[in-house]
Amino acid sequence: MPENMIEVRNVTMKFRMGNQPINSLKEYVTTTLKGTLKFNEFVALNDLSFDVKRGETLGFVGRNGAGKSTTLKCISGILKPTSGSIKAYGNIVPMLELGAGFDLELTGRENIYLNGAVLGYSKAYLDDKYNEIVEFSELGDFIEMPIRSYSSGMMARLAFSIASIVQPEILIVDEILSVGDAAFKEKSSQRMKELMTGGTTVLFVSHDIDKIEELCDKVIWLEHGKKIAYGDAKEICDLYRNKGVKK
Amino acid sequence: MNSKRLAKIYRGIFAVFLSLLVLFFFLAGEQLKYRDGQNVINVTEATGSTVELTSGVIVEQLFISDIDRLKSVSFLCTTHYRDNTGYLNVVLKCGEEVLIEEIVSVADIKENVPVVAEADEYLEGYRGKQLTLLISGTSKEGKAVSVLLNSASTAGISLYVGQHKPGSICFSTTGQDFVFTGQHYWQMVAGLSAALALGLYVSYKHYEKTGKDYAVSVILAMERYEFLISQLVSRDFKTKYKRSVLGVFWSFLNPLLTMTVQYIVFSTLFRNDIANYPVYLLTGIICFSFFNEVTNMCLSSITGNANLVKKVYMPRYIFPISRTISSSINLAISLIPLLLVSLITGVALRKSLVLMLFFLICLIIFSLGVGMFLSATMVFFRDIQFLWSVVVMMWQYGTPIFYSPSIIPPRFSFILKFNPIYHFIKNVRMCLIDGISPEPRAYAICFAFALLSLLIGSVVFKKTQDSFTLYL
Repeated sequence: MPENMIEVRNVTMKFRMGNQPINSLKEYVTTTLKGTLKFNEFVALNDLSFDVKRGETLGFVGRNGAGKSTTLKCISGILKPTSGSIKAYGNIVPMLELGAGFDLELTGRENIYLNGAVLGYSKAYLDDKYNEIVEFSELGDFIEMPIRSYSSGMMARLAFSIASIVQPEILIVDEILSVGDAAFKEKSSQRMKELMTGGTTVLFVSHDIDKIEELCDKVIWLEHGKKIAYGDAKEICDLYRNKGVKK
Repeated sequence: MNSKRLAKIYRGIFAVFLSLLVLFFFLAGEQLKYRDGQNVINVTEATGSTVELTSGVIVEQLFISDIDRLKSVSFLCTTHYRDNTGYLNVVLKCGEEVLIEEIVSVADIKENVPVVAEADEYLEGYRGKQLTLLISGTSKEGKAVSVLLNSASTAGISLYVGQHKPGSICFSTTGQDFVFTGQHYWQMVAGLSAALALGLYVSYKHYEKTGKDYAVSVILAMERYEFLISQLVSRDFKTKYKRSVLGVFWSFLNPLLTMTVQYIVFSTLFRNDIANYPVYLLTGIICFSFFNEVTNMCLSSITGNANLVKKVYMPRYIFPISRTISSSINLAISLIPLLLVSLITGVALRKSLVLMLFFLICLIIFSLGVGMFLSATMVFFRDIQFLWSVVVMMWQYGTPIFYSPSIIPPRFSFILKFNPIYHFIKNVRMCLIDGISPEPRAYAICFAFALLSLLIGSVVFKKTQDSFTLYL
């Protein structure tokens, strides 16, 4: 009987949205004085509950703005839900949007350590994995150069190599990452599949319904922050293809 | 964490705390026990004078001294602008007991220069008692001085010169007061240590029983994010000087160059009589530019790392803290030119130099607090950065960096009183240039400012951090 790795219970997430974007003190004061500032409530997640079992890959489908990314952010702790509780038994590592934590002035080597630290890895672990990362990225001697001199393909390769070195208990993947030239693309998507099927618990968001069907065990369908359907991947994906896309 | 390791850490914390208190006792020296007398008498304005102090004339000034340790009494005479001869006999008595007796040559007395009668040792135990100052002369008529009077003065009890006179003579006292903390230092050390020991013990027991404790979670977080912070700090450092030829050397060239420019401007264009002006100036520049740097770095620490804040979970306070640490390393580097300039200009480096660190640490904590406040508000209001640059400019001119605090008119003195950075700078200067420790109160004030700032900053930060992601 596999135990639960993640328990999401009655999670509701509400945002207070101003009727106009305020990001300066001046605007705030003037609109408050004029009395034109009003707030609307926007419900991003509405009473959402589900479990993820150990080793399971859970896919999220739904249209843009359905609450898929918000759910992932709540689980990883970046957002705090307005009500409800989330329990995660294990360390969570997000597959970073490529190069999110990069510093252009630093060398490839320095960026590996910086990015690794951001992802929560220890120095010892990174020392251990360093050669593997460099090898996978195929950067060779360029690793000692500041990454501002990299081509965009090189940068993407480095970013992917760092991101995919993860061995967390819970992995969060927002869109599948496959980058670089044809050969590296093949290599990276192979790596992704290995990661996702290798026994880790994975939360996976994608608009590629075929990928979801291929990689996931279970799928949740979200619409306007509400759970529409939950079940085995094939079943839900068929349902989504027939109804969701047409609607 | 197992409880054995926790016990070890707690014992370490306690030992460090205790040894710092003991170290402080030896570094602070005299200033821990005594401070300048707060209620000294100082009558300098004359409205008239006594008759000439020829032999037989006795000036008898009764007064009460309101200081704990009396050191000297002085008074002003007029020479009538001529050369005089003879002697003055100055005696300070309490009842029949003679405290000070001094014979002064009248020929040495100058107009408006106080005649000082100083005790060999500090006179303790005369606070609140009635003292008598007796001045008598041996000069001949036409060759004698007179004591200056102020008929409106209320500094004395009564004045007799042959007959009762209104007011008092122009006189002043010097001395010291006891400082409570210094007189009861070891009792206070015992009390504080006991409180700390109790706190640590309660926390230890609590952790053993329930498996969690606030203090323990702080230690764990420090251990957990140490590597991340060190990476962020080294990133700041590497990128700051990455493309410059001189590299880290800038960190100490920068304050030196600023000092040179300001020194030339303010020592030739504007006259001032500040002792050791180069060091005075450099201390102010280094402290204030540190504050400026930290707050500006913190200001953009959340918005500048938006892509990380939005994507990865980590405590958000790591960003302002890592920026503050990297600036603090810069501050440490810029202490090297400060010490060099001090040595070159002939400042004797004394043990009080170590105490300077206390005030610098207060400055760092204070700046961190302000930085946390700014980094949080910046997320919601992006125009804070423009507002802040104006505030910093006003703050800079409101702080005696290149001028002396004495030029500020008394009615504006509250500007200095409530300016934390002035307190930090003043005390750093005292430790460095004067070579003595500030009075214990100064430590408390600086610490309170630092703590208050950190408290406000972290509360604002904590309250708002959950909505950072929505505004980035």
